[in-house]
Amino acid sequence: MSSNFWLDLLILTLVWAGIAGSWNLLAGFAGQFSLGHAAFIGIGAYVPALLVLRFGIAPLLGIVAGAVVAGCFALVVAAVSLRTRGPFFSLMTIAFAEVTKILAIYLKPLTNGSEGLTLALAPGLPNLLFIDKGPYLAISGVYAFAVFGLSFWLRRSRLGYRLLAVRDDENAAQSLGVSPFSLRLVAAVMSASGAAIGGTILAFYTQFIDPDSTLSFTLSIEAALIAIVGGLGDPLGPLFGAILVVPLEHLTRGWFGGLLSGVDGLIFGVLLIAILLTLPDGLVDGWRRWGYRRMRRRYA
Amino acid sequence: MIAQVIISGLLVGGIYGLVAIGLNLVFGVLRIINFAHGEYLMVSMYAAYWLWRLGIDPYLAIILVVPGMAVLGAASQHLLIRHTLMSPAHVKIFVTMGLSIALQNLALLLFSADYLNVRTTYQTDALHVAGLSISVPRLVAFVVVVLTAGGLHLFLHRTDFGKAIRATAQDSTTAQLMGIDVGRVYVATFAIAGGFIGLAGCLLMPIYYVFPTVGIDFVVVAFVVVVLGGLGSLPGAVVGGLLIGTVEQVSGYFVDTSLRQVAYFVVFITALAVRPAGLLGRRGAEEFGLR
Repeated sequence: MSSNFWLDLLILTLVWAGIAGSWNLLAGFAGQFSLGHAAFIGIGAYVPALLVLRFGIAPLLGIVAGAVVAGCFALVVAAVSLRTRGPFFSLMTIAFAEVTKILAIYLKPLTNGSEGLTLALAPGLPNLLFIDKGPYLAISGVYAFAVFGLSFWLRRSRLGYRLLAVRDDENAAQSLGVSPFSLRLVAAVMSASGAAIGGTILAFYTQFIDPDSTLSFTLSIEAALIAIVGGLGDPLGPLFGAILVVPLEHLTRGWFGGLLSGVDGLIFGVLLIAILLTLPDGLVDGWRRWGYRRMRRRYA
Repeated sequence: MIAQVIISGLLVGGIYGLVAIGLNLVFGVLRIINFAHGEYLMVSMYAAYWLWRLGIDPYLAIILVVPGMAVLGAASQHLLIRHTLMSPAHVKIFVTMGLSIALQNLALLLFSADYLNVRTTYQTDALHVAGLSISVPRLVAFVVVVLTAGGLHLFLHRTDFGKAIRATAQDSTTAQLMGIDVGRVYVATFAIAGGFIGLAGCLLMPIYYVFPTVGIDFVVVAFVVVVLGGLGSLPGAVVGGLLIGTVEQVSGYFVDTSLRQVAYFVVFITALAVRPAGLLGRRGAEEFGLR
């Protein structure tokens, strides 16, 4: 395992921390569990790629366009899906994401269907393509940092307090003049745009886009999983989750993948159940409780 | 020609209904969306396949697979789901998701990703009635679905234990106060759901392939069926299944086969947004959520 392998792991961990952090804005703060974030990740991948390949618009601008398109799509998805509650919201978002994926396969003249698009562009910042991994590390670091900055700010802001109020008691919040529907729409748009930027970074890092790698249901689960394992609604949760989940996935796949395909996924599924049953509030919560117990013992 | 398309839609829909019944029952009673339901189907299809390799016909395998799957269903409730009943919604969703991931990968590890199918003498047989061709194994599946769904309906409405299940579905706290052992009802519900999925697996094996992710194909449709037919409504699951099967085949015939999934997702989104209780469901059933 060369240093490139570890650098690759670090970059992916940071990007996924950012994507899961974006997911957390909607699920953790607004209490709406989207299982359709693959749609936004995919839009973030496809929009800048299509803009540069079909119209020659620089991906540095395309990344913004991807976030805007994903935000607008989230407005539509959320406006329809928010008519339902609880698990039905999750099912609705799955349906929207699946439709997006099928359309990406079907609209072959535009997206090149399941064959995918290869991003063979000249290296440089305007094209977001680099020969070394260093610049990618910088970009993913800035991205993850920005998402966590946003989460911490949200936690302390007027908007954040209103979101938490709606999440914890919708009727009480409504009676105090807070509009749950429009607040949740705002959270959905922020969450989708954030995830789209992560999708752009992933796409330009791997330099290849197809519906399976950018729009599949497993991406939606991955985002949710990282945030839940780390700690739902906690600004730091997704970072903890990504530090555990992403290396675990890649290492087990590296160790067992070739010879015994399935072992990695099996370990992953069992571990997921174990973490949820022992630490339902996530790793951050477990870490805090552990720290608290240690402190109490020291000063007892 | 259109009659032929509708017939094949109804026959496909019967299978969808059978897969949806267990999902619907578990949701109705425990208010849990079991994302591992499709993997139960995968397990029972593999069981039917390996029994066929041992020389047992898939239809005969029903007498072994159905009890086996009932035990598996009861075990997953007793060992796993039981511990999540008091947890927040996200824990319930992701524990069943974890079970689904684990089972899929276990199958991948044990059986690899190959597509396996059985060969029987009757699987290509077809009846020809009034110029229509009706596949025999699909017709068998359809008839069994209608009979067993009717049987389950009678069980839930006519027997004491069936009434206990329905009482628990309506209000588990009150049911408990009336002396119903709610824990036993939960285990029984999962066992019944497991038995039905075992039946579905055996009936499906002569028609379809089995591979580790086969459950996903069917469970997504089953979600659509459950929501369309009405949560907690068994007749709804059957009617919804037939309807979705027909929509799928008709849209595949008239529009484009690669877009037929879009057709049922559109039905799903519209149904949930316009009438969340479904066609035959109780109003407000969706408001209970997972708690």
